[in-house]
Amino acid sequence: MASAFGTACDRCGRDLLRQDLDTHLHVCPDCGHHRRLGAPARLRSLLDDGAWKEHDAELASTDPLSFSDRRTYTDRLADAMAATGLRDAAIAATGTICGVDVEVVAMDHRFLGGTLGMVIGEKVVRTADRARAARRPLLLVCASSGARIMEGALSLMQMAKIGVALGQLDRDGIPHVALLTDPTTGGVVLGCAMGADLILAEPDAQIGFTPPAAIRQTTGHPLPNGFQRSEYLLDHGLIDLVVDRRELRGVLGRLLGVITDTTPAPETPRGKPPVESDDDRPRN
Amino acid sequence: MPKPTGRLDFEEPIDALQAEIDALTMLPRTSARHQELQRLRARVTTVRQEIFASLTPGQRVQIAGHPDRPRMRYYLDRLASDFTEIHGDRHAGDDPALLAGFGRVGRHAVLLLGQNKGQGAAAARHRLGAMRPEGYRKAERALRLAEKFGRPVVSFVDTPSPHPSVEAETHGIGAAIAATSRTLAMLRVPTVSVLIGEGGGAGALALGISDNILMQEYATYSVVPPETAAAVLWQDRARGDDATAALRITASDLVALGVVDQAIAEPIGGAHADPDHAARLLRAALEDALEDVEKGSCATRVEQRHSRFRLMGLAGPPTAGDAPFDPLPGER
Ligand SMILES: [Zn+2]
Repeated sequence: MASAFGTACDRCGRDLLRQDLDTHLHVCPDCGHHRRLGAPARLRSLLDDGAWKEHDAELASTDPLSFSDRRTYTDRLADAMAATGLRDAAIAATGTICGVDVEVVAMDHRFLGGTLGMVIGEKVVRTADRARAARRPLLLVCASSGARIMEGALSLMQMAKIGVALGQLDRDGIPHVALLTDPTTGGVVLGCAMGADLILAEPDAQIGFTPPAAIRQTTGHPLPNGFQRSEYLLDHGLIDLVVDRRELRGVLGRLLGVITDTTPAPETPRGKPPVESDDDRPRN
Repeated sequence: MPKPTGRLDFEEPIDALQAEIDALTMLPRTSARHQELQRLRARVTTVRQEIFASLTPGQRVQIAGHPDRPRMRYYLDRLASDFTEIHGDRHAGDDPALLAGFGRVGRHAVLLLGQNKGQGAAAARHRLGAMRPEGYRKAERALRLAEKFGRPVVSFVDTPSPHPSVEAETHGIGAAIAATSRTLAMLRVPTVSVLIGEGGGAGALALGISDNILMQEYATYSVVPPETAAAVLWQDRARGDDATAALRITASDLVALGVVDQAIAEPIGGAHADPDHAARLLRAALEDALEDVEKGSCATRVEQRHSRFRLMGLAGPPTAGDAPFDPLPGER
């Protein structure tokens, strides 16, 4: 957990100072371990001046099944809202990356594991519609542990809903780029993410359809080294690039600049204020 | 009736009566034997009606996965004519879990494709409908051919999940499912899907994004298996029955939620109790559905399909609060 007094790296144990976290965007300067980022921090790390215009912030789940397990879904939602300040597990935003206009949806794993339900589905569809209308690329930043079980078949249907929206981008020639971060798991999430035109991933992110434990149980064999990690997917031709978070903005800016044939701004400042800030309200 | 290969515990009273019937048929023919047989057969019908009138959601899941439940191949043989199977994804292989080919359903010349679980000895080869990426790529190839030939599509959904294996992951099961589902969603030809058994998650949905979605009475359709929901949310695998009820995975639930257009009745006791009757009911529903989706212009049909999925699980209006903020940025 980050604090003003620093925190230890989950992988190498090094003390991470707050200024290190800011400078290195929550990447350990020693071992390169990428700590997870919430959606606001993610947007600040990617978008010029750390600023964006948010859309559809008011969308919230309607609990369509009146679902209850050990607790009610509405209680779980209320807790997640209080803990994150978000109304669901994604932010939809318009911004620029190195001067290139882009429509973004960034998922937030802190909100019920970033699970994909009706709100993310609706935000992705509306964002894709804005991308088509403005003829801007769509960037989908994934940080999700799967489908929102508490919305039942309606969470499953979000894959169909998003699939239609992305199919319309194909039809109209609008680029769709996915950035896969730790974790990007489960069939519904991969059924949306792996259909992108171009797929980037952060190092060592877990990306997979079937949980490794279920595969081990079925096959009875040990899993290959690095199975379902970014580098493994790259080796097997499943994604385009693995990019260090500190390089991501530059790589995305260059790539989006070329595929949309816009000239990127050469010296756009990285997001300010720094990623670690309590004032995360979007500007504009 | 075919000899059962696997029975469900709640079907035991039926099995006991059936055993009595079997024993009686060995005896010499007498009028007393005849009367007793008639009585027992009537009793089987009554007991079956009683059991199936009050099934728990968990028992419905067992019927959907019943080893004797008719598979896609069974229905295909009874409702399609002039059928020619096609094979292979033209890249890596041919997945027997996915059956595809061109044929006629009534007066409609169509592409038929879907998960074929296989029966008896074939079930292992078909991996009970657990498809590999090759299968989804074969499906996508078939769908593109249907589009090119202007043939309507009938898809059968019957899969627990994609194949849980290192190979499936390494060969891109996610990408294959994303591509197949999007191709189906964007087709300009009319499409009908029918859920005939287990509709398990994204692997099922990939063949289910259609103009008209039918579902047999005892089929199920769920985002995750109920036991997974029980383990994740209740943290107790034994709460599968509760999870099954809460997830609302039956045909009548899904019609009410607008996910499925129409439930197709099954014979009393489920499709496995009278497969031939089940096939006749399915065929009638399918022909009506094809008739229905072939009406109207292509543009209208595609627009209606897209807006139908667009409206599924429409997130609601704001309830309170203001712009989001991030009190714990970068927390793990
Ligand atoms: Zn470290």
